[in-house]
Amino acid sequence: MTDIAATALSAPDMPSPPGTSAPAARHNGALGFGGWLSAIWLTVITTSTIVAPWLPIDDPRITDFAVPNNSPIGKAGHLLGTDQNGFDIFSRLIWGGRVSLIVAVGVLAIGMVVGGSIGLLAGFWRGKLEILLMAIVDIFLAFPALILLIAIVAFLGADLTNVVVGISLVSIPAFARIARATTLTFSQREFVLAARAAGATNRRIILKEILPNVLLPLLAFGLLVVGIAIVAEGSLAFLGLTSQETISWGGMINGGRPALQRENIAHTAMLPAFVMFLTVLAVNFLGDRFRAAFDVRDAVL
Amino acid sequence: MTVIKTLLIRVTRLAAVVLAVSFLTFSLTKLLPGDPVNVILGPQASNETVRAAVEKDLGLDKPFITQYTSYIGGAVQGDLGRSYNSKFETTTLLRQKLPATLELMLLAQLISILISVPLAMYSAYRANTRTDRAITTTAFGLISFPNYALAVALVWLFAVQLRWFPAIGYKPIEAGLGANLKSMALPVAALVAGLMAVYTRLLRSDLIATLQEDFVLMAKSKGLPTWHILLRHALRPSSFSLLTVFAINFGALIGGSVIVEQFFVIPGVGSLAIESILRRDYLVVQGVVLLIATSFVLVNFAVDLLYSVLDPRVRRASA
Repeated sequence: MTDIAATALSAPDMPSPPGTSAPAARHNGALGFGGWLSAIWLTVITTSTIVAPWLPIDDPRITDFAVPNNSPIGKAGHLLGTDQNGFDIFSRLIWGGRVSLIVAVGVLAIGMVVGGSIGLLAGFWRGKLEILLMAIVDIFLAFPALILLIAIVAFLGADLTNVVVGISLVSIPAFARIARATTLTFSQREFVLAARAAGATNRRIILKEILPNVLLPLLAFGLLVVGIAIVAEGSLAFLGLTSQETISWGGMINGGRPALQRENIAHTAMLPAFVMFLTVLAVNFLGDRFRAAFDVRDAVL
Repeated sequence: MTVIKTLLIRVTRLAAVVLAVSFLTFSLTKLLPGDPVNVILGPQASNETVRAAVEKDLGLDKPFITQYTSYIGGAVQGDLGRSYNSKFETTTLLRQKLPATLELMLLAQLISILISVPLAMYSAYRANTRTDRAITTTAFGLISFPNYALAVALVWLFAVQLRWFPAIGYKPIEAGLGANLKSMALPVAALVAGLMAVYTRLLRSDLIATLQEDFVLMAKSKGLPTWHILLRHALRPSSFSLLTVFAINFGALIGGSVIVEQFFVIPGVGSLAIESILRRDYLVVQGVVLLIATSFVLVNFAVDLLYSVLDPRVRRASA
């Protein structure tokens, strides 16, 4: 996961290599063992971050002066120890999940609505509108995503809204391309022709015939973006581009680095890194299963 | 004739994209809040006369379009303006920072390919065995590992515990090849993990598809050895997705290794981008974006050409 745009976002909308047939999709609806494990993990993370204020955990912003900073796992009444500020790590892991959750939901919603609309309109109307919209999309894709994101957040201020808007902005072009490609394949199908023959308006065809078909592949792609968005938010926090008030996994990793390098205390940086890894892994795993069922790549080709 | 025409159209489109990107960057730096003059002057920024003098000096008093056209006019002649801060030429800064980034990128790409091609070939040939599943699962895990998290783990293991490599810092090649490679080991490893995983998965799935084709069956029935079939028959037609992503990464890694460069304190293009963004050093930001966008566009162009070299069918179709 070196670059947001290159490794993952463009993978599904790569130019179709001629002469290679896509591997047969695994059309099994079952989640499998790993799928269930991922679903359970995500459910646990999501629920605990939502109900965090009512959980019997320490205040994540209060220093425990009774124990030394960076105290180890399990000692002194802190389940996972304390960090460099004497904050409870377990509690901060749960509160930090909130930021990831907000970013995930926000980026998914904005990306699907804005990117999906652009792609749907371009794919349905074709002609000049398509050329114009896709030209804009291509220009945005040529923009170095991470640098654009850093610039937006650095200029507008590092609050959570700007982070969500920034990451969404960077991922909209990819959503638009997927939506357009899927729309193109579906708008030539018989049922669209049938609807048109029955006298349906364009508006009705878009909303009732095409949109429901585009939605699932787009959501499948969206899960991939969710994983990337969580990592991207972490990158910003890691670079120090978050407000001090925000508790985020990326920020926790960054905060734990000095202790790791100088005093050989690993858990303050490694625990958030591990939680983030598990979360992204779970999202990617579910997305992979989902995509196998609604083969996005097939639709793009 | 048609080939030349298609090429010309493509080149024009590429130039248009680069131009549009530069215009967008230019507008963004003007639209978004934050003023380089404030950063330069600090507490003196409220002094109107000083402010006007600095703005005039930097050419910021002219209208937007004039500023942009003179920027593009300079850029065509290889002049990307001077940094507001250090007063160095942007091109000089880029030339200073590019070697470290290029070294990081080339090493990471080379090692990733060297690891992933044999791994994918083995995995595809032994598809659905235990080894294959181990390889694909590991690759999947590595893709989900954020590179800063990986960097932390690498530093802890190899620099703090084992003390094999320095934790951070960059030694240029003039300091000796050994020292240079030692300082690059961990940053390169942090990039390789993700790249290698992506490449292995891409090549494996394409190889599995190719191995089911008739010509592979034909080769098998002729009694050709497995390694020969894999290397000489199956690899080339299976390498399109891999090559596309591999090539795109050449462009993307120039800006995409920001995190790794920042983490390991490598004086590269990514670090330059971040520093200049934070200091509102717009001309340098524009220079970096222009460099990355241009290489991205050029690489895409090269990939298109590469397809026709690799696959005779494309050559015939476009001719």
